[in-house]
Amino acid sequence: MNIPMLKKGDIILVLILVFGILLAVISRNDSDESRISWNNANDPGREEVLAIIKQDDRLIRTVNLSKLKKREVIRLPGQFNEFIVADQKKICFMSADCPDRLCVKAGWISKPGQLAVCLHNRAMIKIVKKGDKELEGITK
Amino acid sequence: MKMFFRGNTDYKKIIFLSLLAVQAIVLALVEAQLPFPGGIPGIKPGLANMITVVGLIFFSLCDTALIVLVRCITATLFVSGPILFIFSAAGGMLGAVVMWLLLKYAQRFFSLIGISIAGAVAHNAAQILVACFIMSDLSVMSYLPVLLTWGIFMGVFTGVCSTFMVKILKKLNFIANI
Repeated sequence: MNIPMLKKGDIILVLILVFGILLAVISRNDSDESRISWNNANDPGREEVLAIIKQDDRLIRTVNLSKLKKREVIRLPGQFNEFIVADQKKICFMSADCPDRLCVKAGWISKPGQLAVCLHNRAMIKIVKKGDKELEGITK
Repeated sequence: MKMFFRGNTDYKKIIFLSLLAVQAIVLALVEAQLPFPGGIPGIKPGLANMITVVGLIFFSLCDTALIVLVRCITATLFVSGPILFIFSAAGGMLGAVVMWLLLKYAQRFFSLIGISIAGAVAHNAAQILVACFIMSDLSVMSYLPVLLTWGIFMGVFTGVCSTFMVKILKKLNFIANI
């Protein structure tokens, strides 16, 4: 009848998981992307930031957020209506009529590596630095 | 599952299973109304994990899978669209299987807290895998550390809750002879 609250395996499991999470976070910080953005934190205008809009495995549009002068609205086709607004140095899903609107709740994204996803429409905005390996792989 | 095909239907078991399923549905509906606590949107407490643990302790894997399936279908009808059904079903199933394996083979080492942490982590991992598959893009993986951290905390919470629930249900002795 007596159920023990904690056993040795629990602590080991948590330690392994925390170690794995720390490893993942540290290895991501070590990759060039974050380090460069960290160094450029004082003058963020120097690096060019691109936003990639993908839907259904296709590249819809690439927006250069650094060079954008005025606000731009992009409409996504598909099962649900979605409007993406690109502004200077930031981009977001402005409105959508999908069921839970998680993409809108993600808010403005601006830093390389951030992403906003709409699962219902299979749409995604991803922010990358110019000259990134990932970018070349997509636009090919 | 066998009870549906055999001649003598086990009504007591069906009633208890449906009670558990209703509890899981209510928990899923309640947690869908909570605001997401920072980090990434779409993050949820995963309270229904508690019911999966209780189901696994008192019933077999098949019955628990039935509970999870009923919960996913109903929550899909009430809360989210058809694509999120794939997410919650995949996560719930993998979580149930992992917790069943741990309960069967490693109960000496893990208490219910550790088991529900493992279940929550498996749930998150399955969801991220499905998301990678649906979006066909690996950058969704960057959500994984946040989700796993959240999974550990909520796993501890649901583990404590399910410990109390199992204690009380065992004291009631209602399901001892099922």
